[in-house]
Amino acid sequence: MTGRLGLPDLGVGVGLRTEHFHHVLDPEAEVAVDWFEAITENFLDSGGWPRRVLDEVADRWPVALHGVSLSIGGTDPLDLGYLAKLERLAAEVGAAWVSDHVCWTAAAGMSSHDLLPIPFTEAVLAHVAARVRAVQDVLGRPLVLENPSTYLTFTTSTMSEAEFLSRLAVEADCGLLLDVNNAYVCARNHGTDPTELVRSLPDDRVVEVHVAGHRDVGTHLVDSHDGPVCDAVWDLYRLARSRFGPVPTLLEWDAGLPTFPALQAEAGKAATARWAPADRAVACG
Amino acid sequence: MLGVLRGDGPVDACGRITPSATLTADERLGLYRRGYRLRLLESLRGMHPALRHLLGDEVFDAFALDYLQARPPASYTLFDLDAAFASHLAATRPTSDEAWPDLVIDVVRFERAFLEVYDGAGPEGAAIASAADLVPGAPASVVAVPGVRLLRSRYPVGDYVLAVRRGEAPPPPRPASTHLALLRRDWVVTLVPLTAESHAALEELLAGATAPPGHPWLAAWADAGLFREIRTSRRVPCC
Repeated sequence: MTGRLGLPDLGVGVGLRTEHFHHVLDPEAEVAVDWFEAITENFLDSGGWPRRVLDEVADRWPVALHGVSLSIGGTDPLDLGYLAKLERLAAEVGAAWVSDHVCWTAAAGMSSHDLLPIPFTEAVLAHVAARVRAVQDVLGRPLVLENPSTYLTFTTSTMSEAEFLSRLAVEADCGLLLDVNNAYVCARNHGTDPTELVRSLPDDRVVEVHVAGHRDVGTHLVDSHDGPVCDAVWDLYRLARSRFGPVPTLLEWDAGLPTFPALQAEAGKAATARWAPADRAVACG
Repeated sequence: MLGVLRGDGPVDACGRITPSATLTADERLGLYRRGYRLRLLESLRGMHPALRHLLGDEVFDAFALDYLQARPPASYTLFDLDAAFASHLAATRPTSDEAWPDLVIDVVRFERAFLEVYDGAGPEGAAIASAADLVPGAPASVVAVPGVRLLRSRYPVGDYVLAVRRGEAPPPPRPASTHLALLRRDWVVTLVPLTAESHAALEELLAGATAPPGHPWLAAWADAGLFREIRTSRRVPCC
């Protein structure tokens, strides 16, 4: 079954994490997920066991690559060496798609290793769209871009994040990765409507949805990926499901990892939510 | 903004950031500074468990933050974050006669080499030479398997680091000049103990020198998996 941009509907997946390598490769272990997402930078230069594991996983399950260092919103020239490695890795593991974040991560040769926010203006939109098109030319495939969690907004922004992402997807002809946990975190941090992003994004561009856990530290929410998904984020996920239909879904859990069985049980909630009551009514009608 | 991330002075959002209901603009910008340092610090903690065990958390963090301030990350991958840690420590080593700074530098250098061997190019999937490839009475040259590292240290840090990685709590090692080869075999990092003499001999071999017949260590090194290929030439008997 294919979804948007001709990309496959992979079902429900989880991130491929070092702590779970042994379980995932154990032929006697239960691995009840449909696909895996691998953090690109962990494997671009790997020649050791981690890469070996990724290759074995890719032989058995669909894999998507999710990057954190593309710096698509940055002003340093695109790193062509990085892109060449990314293209090669994507080809070697048969990546279903390649994704990263709408942010910047590096400038003047220094890398922050963080997803730094960008202002939402016409000039930034044109800048990012041009870079997305350039990246897609190098990769030979659509890029899929995620809405990151942010902890500040700019006084210079002239449009909402929803408008920015919607227009970016059309102008750059790229895909969108809707992270409903990030949408919720940003809404709480910036005092906006958490449903705006879900309601506004063009439904023919959302090719993946992330769900994840966060922390409330009092003054703001932190996109911590260190626990289960809260009810409010599941509600957003169901809203996304009702709007977009079945979309490949990934549970992000990166810190304080549970056992793999516990992880896949949490991911299983997305599998249940993918088939909302409305669908069952239609199926039974 | 990158200057804000690295800086120690007051955070000034310069009117470019909106405040929230709970945080001022400067406080919101400050979240990114704290996040930047914490993320990189956590990465270094993960890459250097033995150094952390040796120094304790507080002193480790001080060394790590000093390094990060002097050498901010430039690579797209966190794997490169500690690439200059040992050289930074060597460059900033106190000039006293105390030996403990050398232990710190040796541990960092070994832990970095360990990571490079663990996740770099390796020999898996390719043929590996063995002592059976040697021809008695014939000189030999070798091609090393990918990822071999030769290390000299003032302290026997290899065993110390591996013990910490196993979850043990070893005492700091005493000074003892140590020579090692690190390689990977079947995805596992392996240590081959050397002497000063054999270290020098292996170094020459790996640089292209030819081993004479009856080389004292060549067969053992071959069986340790150090070589991808052993090239020998049968001696043409004189008529």
